Amino acid sequence: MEHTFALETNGLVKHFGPKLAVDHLDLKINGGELYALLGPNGAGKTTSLRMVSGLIAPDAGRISVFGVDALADPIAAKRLIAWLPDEPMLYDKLTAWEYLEFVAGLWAVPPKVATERAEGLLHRLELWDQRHERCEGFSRGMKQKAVLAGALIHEPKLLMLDEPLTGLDAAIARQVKDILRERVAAGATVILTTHLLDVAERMADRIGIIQKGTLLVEGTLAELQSRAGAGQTLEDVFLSLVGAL
Amino acid sequence: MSGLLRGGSFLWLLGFEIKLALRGMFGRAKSHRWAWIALLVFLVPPMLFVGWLVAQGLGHVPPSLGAVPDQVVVLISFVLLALSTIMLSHALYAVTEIVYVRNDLDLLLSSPVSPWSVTLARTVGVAVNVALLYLALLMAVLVWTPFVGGWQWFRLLPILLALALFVTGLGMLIALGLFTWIGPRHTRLVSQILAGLIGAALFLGSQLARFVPDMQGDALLAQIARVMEQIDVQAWNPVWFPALAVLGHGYALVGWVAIGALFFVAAAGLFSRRLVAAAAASAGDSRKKGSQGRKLTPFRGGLTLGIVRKEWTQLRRDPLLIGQTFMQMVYLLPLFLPAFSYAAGRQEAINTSLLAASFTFLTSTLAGTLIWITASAEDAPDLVAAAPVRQFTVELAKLVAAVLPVLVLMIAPAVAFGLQDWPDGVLAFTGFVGAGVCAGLIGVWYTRPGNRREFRRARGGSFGVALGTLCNAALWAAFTGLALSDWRVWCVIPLVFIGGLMMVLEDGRTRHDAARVAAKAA
Repeated sequence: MEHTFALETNGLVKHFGPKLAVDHLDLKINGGELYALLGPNGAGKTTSLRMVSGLIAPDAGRISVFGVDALADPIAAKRLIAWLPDEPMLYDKLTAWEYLEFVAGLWAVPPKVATERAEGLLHRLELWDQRHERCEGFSRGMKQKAVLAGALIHEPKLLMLDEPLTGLDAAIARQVKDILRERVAAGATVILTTHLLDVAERMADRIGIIQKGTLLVEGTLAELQSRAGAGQTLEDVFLSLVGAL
Repeated sequence: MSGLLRGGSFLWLLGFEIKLALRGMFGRAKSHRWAWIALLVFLVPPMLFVGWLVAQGLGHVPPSLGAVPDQVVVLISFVLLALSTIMLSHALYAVTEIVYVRNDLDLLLSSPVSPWSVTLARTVGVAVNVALLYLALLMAVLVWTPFVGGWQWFRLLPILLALALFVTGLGMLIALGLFTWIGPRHTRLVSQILAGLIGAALFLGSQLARFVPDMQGDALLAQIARVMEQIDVQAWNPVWFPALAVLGHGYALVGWVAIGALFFVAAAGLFSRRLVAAAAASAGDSRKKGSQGRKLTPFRGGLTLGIVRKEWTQLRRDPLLIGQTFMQMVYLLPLFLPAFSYAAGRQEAINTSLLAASFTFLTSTLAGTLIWITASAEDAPDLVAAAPVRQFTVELAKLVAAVLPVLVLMIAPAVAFGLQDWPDGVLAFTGFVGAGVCAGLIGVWYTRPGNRREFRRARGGSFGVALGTLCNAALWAAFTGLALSDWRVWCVIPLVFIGGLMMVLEDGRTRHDAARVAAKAA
């Protein structure tokens, strides 16, 4: 039987005017793994994930999410995905509770199920006491947690996060990391982009390094280190590959 | 670089403020270069021409007027009062923007520049901003005055600047008073509504004469003249200094400039002390307190209803936005004047046809505004785009959220028309529905990412779409007007044009979508 990847892209291409942002990107990410996509600024990480989440149409290539052709049937693919951009997508005038209700409605989660999940998530993310507060008064960390709760309310099989830990304090960053690990343990797939190499080092099952829209290398931490030679850290590997050394 | 203009000095900061003010005013010039060139070609020459005509008139006024009747002083004072009212509206708005909108206070106040310099530069920037339009108009006249032997009219420049300083100081004191009285949370809303009302009151007041029949108008003017005659102008009273300065009294000019400048500095001093506290409080006051005991409501289902609920909740909780929306409507009230003027001239009941047309235009405009808020100013467009829902469903929900409240408002006039003659009521409501839905559709088809916080200034769109929206409102107004007139059968003609217009706009939508996606991605 053919193996079904959580995410598979083939020859993904995206131009912005004359600039080539993503250049024939081939990604194969297994179900139930935490995959970290690393790359310097402007490498095409966010663009790639935005194409997967259906926010930008690729110029060429194929995207498959758990076997669903995301370009032919974007609605079906979107049901399986949650996308968290680096800037939290929130409504200032809605409370955290109302925000979750709205997101649950978008993903057609039955109201009763969504209510129970929302209660659980707000408790888990320590937002329960702020459930009736408008998001406009939230700190960045609280906003990020509210958005994460929104992303998890429909229990996505594929969770994609763009720089999820940027600007968070240590306690909130730990909460987010714990939740991501829990989701992976429960069988979900998590793809995250990050500039924090130690996060990728500690959390990721596999790491992909992308530059100029092309996947330079991917593998487990040990595989990447063995390529670079004994005693090399992920930072050494990363910097030597992206040409910063 | 001279000491006065060195980095961090007052003048350097002031230059920065003025540059930002000009960018705010002309910031879009690059993207609409031809529109600006056309504006300059078609606006500046007529302005200079009118300025030349006014300068010709001023050239005949002797340099020293000597004694003039008190009524002239009172009349000039009233003109200056009217001018200062408009300026106050602008100043009050700009002053609250300093505290609530510009988010660079942390940067400026954490720099090694004295807080007093920061505040003074910022508030002088407001005063310059307030005076800018009137300075431009005045300069169109003053550039000609040397050629007609009227150098003395350059005294109007310091008078205008002193007026701007005085009014900005007043704006600061009102904002401070509101801040102390009703707290930071409501100050922005109340002061901006107050600013709108002040501007609108003057505007509506200027239109009032059109409501009043000629005979009553003459009586009113005679009454005003009698009141003016009774006013005793005391040359030493500072109240009359601005008018006396205009008339060429040197002591009044010096006195007025001193009063304007001192009042401004005093107000800026008070404002400066509270500015930091105000900014901090306004940033931290948005968190709602005391909500712990609130009952938790279970989630309700339904995608379309969910989006509609979300839009209405956001709108309901943004009284500033509601206030600004309805303030726009105030400026549309003169639309109704023809209906009243016609009635006044014909000594008969208000003209139903014109009134219905006016309500239709209002419906279209209001629906257009609300659809911009719901569709273009969506706070989390990526969230909605990443959701597994069809674009059509989202657009339909946003259309309903924007148009339904307007139609609910329009039920009352439709019922009123229906009580006169029931087909009139049905036809009027048909016009309202058509105008609202078509305006909503245009807004949905031609979304342009915007921010509801910048509602007042950032609702830009292409000229073609703006023209299409205006044509839609006018054509539906024509439909309703004709449908409620003696020429009912002719209402089919605007309908045909509306059909054509909507087909053209729908056709252009694909190109707009492609351009929007490309722009967003880039």
